[in-house]
Amino acid sequence: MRNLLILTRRELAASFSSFGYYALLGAVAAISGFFFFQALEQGGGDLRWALVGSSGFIFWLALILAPLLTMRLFAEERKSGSLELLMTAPVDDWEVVLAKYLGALVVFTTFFAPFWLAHLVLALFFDGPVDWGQLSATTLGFSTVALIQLAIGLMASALVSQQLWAALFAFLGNMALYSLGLLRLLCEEGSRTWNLLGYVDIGRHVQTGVAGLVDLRQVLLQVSVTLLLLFWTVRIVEVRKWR
Amino acid sequence: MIEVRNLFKRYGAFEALKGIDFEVAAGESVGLLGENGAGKTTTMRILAGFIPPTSGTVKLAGHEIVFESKAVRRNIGYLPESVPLYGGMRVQEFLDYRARLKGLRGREVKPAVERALGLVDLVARRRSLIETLSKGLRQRVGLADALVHSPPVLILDEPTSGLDPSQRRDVRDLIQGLKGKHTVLVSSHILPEIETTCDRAVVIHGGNVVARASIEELKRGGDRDRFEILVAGPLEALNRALVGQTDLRSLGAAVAEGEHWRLRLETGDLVRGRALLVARLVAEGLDLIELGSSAGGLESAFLQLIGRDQEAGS
Repeated sequence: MRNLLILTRRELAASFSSFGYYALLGAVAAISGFFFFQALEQGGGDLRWALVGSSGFIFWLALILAPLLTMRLFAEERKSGSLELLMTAPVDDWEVVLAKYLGALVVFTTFFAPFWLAHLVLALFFDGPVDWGQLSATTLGFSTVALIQLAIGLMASALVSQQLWAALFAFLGNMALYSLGLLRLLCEEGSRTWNLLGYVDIGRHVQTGVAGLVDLRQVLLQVSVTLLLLFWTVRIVEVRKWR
Repeated sequence: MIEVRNLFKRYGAFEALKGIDFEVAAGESVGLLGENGAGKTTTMRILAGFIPPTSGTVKLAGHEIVFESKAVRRNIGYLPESVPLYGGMRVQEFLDYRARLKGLRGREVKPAVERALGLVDLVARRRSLIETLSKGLRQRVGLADALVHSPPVLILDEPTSGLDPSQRRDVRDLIQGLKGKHTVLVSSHILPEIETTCDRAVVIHGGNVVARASIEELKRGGDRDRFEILVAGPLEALNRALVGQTDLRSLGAAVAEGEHWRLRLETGDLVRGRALLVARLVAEGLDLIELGSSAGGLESAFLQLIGRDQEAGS
């Protein structure tokens, strides 16, 4: 546990001290702010509508953001050789994998800061009817979807040595996951497959959050799949040593 | 302290290590000597716990490398060949992080980092960003990292690779200073480095150990001594002087140096061989200008061991 904390702190420090992080955060804040206020205007100043209106954009943003945040995690260390330094320290493979994952998750969550800030400003200065519950559920909805997206990204980064390939594989993996939900459109409504695909439809999970709801079944599914992906990532890291 | 038995490593069809054996006693400083591609880095990486062996056993500080990998890693300080560091970190920050990762806690960290900075003479650069340091200074940061938790065993892979002569000397002096305090295994293909820093050498060639002996034994090693002569006189006379000398063999052709001829020779008995040669040269009316040892003892032994002596002579 102690090593996990040391390694996670190092991952966070590496992200928060990099120019790339702030450039990305600035870009995301600017673009999401634009969409958020456009939706706010269209909704006649209704914050609930603004969040629902801009959630589609956030969803696509998360699909792109997760691979960008995870692509460097193993691929960069492998390419620069620092993985040799890291793995010859007295740490377990799972500690390294989990620390990188937790670091990416925390960094990902900070990209929601502009939304919270916008709500705070509206609540404090414009006496806006802010629905903190809806905002929290939306953040949780996106974060639980991000659990899997980041795990896919981390696994891709462990598999390849080139960051760009890692990002591409992660994006394709995330798209494949999203496509599972789209397959639902081809099924007969109410059928067993239709229901099953409904459970794994990450787009629906986000919609649940945006509606201000928390569905524990969805959270449990996301967490289980994430743990499985992280387990595979640890195995990939181990297997790559034996090759 | 280090015990390597029948160590094999295969990368697909390629066999990098073919059953090597050697050991290093506590406090000893041993050089792993070999050409590029001989299997040195593979051996070092296995010992450091970075890659597993295909078969064979390795014990470090009493722990088995595969089944007690973490315990092994706790007892070693490892300097990889390319010295990969986190460029965005400052020197002290990096060492602090590494010390904690290697198990030092709370109040132990600061003095350990100070000691390591002092050992590698980096106190003045503690606040420097690693990416702004020269290669020599980065090498020192790597050494400080290897030393920060005072491990009983140091594994240094090509510690002077890519450094200029002055930086090489500094790192060599530093390693010499560690002798006796740690068990040191240094890999290199630079012979003077091994000669000045190690008590013993293990020579590895094509994935096999071809010799393990003290530096002195290796220098004396083999049954052949080499020396060099510079003579004045006609080449034909020089050739005549060597004809029929079963105990003397020329290593390549004589090379003209102005009006003189330089020639490298090999003999089974240095004293007798030289005396015999001088007598023959005088008999042929040649003037002996210079008579000296050739191609350094360890280099000569090394080349013999890896079967490159003929190439070196030509």
